[in-house]
Amino acid sequence: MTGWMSEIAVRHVPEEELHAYLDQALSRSQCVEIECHLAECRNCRTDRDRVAAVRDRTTALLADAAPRRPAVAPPFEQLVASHRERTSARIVSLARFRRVGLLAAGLAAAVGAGWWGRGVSAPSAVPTSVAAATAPVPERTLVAIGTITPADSMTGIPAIRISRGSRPPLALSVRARSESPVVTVADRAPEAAVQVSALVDEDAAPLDGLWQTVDLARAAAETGGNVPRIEGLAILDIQLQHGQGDERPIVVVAQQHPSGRIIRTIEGPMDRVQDLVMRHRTQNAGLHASQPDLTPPDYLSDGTVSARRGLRILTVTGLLPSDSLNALARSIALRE
Amino acid sequence: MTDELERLYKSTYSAVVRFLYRKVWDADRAEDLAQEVFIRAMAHRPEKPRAWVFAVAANLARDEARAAIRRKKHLTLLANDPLPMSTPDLPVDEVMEQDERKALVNEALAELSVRDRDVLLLWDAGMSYPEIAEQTGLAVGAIGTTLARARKRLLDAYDRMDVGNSRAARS
Repeated sequence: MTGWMSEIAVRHVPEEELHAYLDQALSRSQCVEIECHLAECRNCRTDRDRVAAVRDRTTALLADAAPRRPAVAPPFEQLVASHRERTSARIVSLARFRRVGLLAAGLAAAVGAGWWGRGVSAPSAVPTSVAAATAPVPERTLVAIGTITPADSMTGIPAIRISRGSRPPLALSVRARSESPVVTVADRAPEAAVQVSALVDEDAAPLDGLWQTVDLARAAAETGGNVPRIEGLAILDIQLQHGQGDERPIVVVAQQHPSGRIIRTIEGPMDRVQDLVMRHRTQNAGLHASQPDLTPPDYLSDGTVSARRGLRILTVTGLLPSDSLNALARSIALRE
Repeated sequence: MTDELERLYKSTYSAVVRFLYRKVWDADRAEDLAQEVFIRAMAHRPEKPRAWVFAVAANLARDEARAAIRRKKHLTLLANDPLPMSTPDLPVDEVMEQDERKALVNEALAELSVRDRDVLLLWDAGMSYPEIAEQTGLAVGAIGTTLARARKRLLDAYDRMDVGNSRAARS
C-alpha cells in the first residue's frame, strides 16, 4: 500500500511504543510488526529518529549526573563480615533485652503475688463482699456448673445450686456481684498436652558431616544436661556432632508439633548453627527459623592462661510461621 | 543464594551507587547506602534480589532525604563531593563545566514528578520494564508512556535552565 490509502488503513506507532521499541522492551512479534510498519511509513520513521535522539540525549545527561569517580565495589567478603558482625550484635542485644524483660516480668509477678497473698490472708475488717470485690479475679474462669448463693436468710446455710456436671470441679473462682459473693464452680475436662496428628516432615534435609543419633540420656550427658527441646512435644530424634577442642557439641532435636509438622531445635556454636540453617533453607525455601537466641557460651582454651569465649545460639526451624517458631524458641530455657 | 547475591553484588553495585547518587547527590553517601542495601539483602535473602535491591535503595534514599529535611540541611550539589582525586589531569575549566551540567541535571530531575523520576532512574540503572513495573506499582504497559513523558520533561527542563543560565551569563 502506498499514498494516502496506507496512511488511513495502517495504524501509526504511538510515541510510547517507539520508546518501548528502542528500549527493547517489546516482544519479538511486536518488534516485527513495528519494523514492517516503519519500512512503509515515513512519518513513523521520522518519529522513531526523534524519539531515539530524545532517548540518547537523556542517557547522556544522566551520565553527566554520575559520581565523578567510578564506584568500585569493596570485596564481597567485607560485606559478609559486616553482616556477621551486625547479626552477632543483634543477637546480643536481643538476649539482653529479653533478660531485662524476664526480670521485669518476674518482679511484677512477685509484687502481684505478694499483694494477692496479703489480700487473702490478712484478716479483713470489711465485709466479705467488699473483700471479694477488691481481690483480683483469676482469669481462668471456665464453664460454670453451679453457683453458691449467700446464706439463706431462714436457715443460715449457703445454698448450692448445681446446674450440671458429674465430673469433679477442677477450678474455683470467686466473684463479687453487688453485695453477695457468688462462687462459680468451674469444670474443665483435662486436655491432652499434645495432640499428635499425622507426621509431616517436609524438611528432611540431610545433615552434612558426621552426626551421631543419640537418646535423651546420652544427649543430656554430652551437653551437660542442656538438651535444647520444647517441653511437652514428643522427641523424634536427637542428633549431635562433636565440637573441636573445648567446644560443646552442636545438637539438633527433632520434635513433632501438634500440627503434625516436624520442628527442629538447633543449638551450638554460632557459625555452625548459622551455616546449618542456611543450608537447610537453601534446600527448602519454605523453611523458617526463629530469631536466634544466645545460649551459654563455650570457653575455649587456646593453650594460654586466658580462655576465648565462643558464642553459641539456639534456633527453632520448621515449616511454620516465624512467629510460632519464635514463641516455641522462647519456651526453651537452658541452664547458664 | 550467597553465590547469587555475590554475582548480583558484583554486577549491580555500580548501578546501585549511580541510582542512589542521583537521589542523594553525595558520592560517599551513595556508596555507604549501596553497601547497606547489600548487607540487608544478605539478612533478608529476597526471592527477587535484583528488584529488592533497587526497592530498598529507593527507600533508603527517601529516608535520607527526609532526614536531611529534618536537619534543615539543604543538600546542594557537590557540597559533599570533593574534587576528584582520580582525575587530576582534567583541566579546571572542564571540571567546572561538568559541575555546571551536573547541577542543571540535578535541578531538571527535581522538576519531574516522583513517579517519572523513579521510572527514569530505574531504567537508567538497567532495570527492565517488568522490574520497574513491579517496583513502582505501575502496569508494564504504562512504563513506556511514563518513560516517554519523563525523558521529554527532563530535556525540556534542562534546556530551559540552560538557556536561563546562558542569558544570565551574558547579562
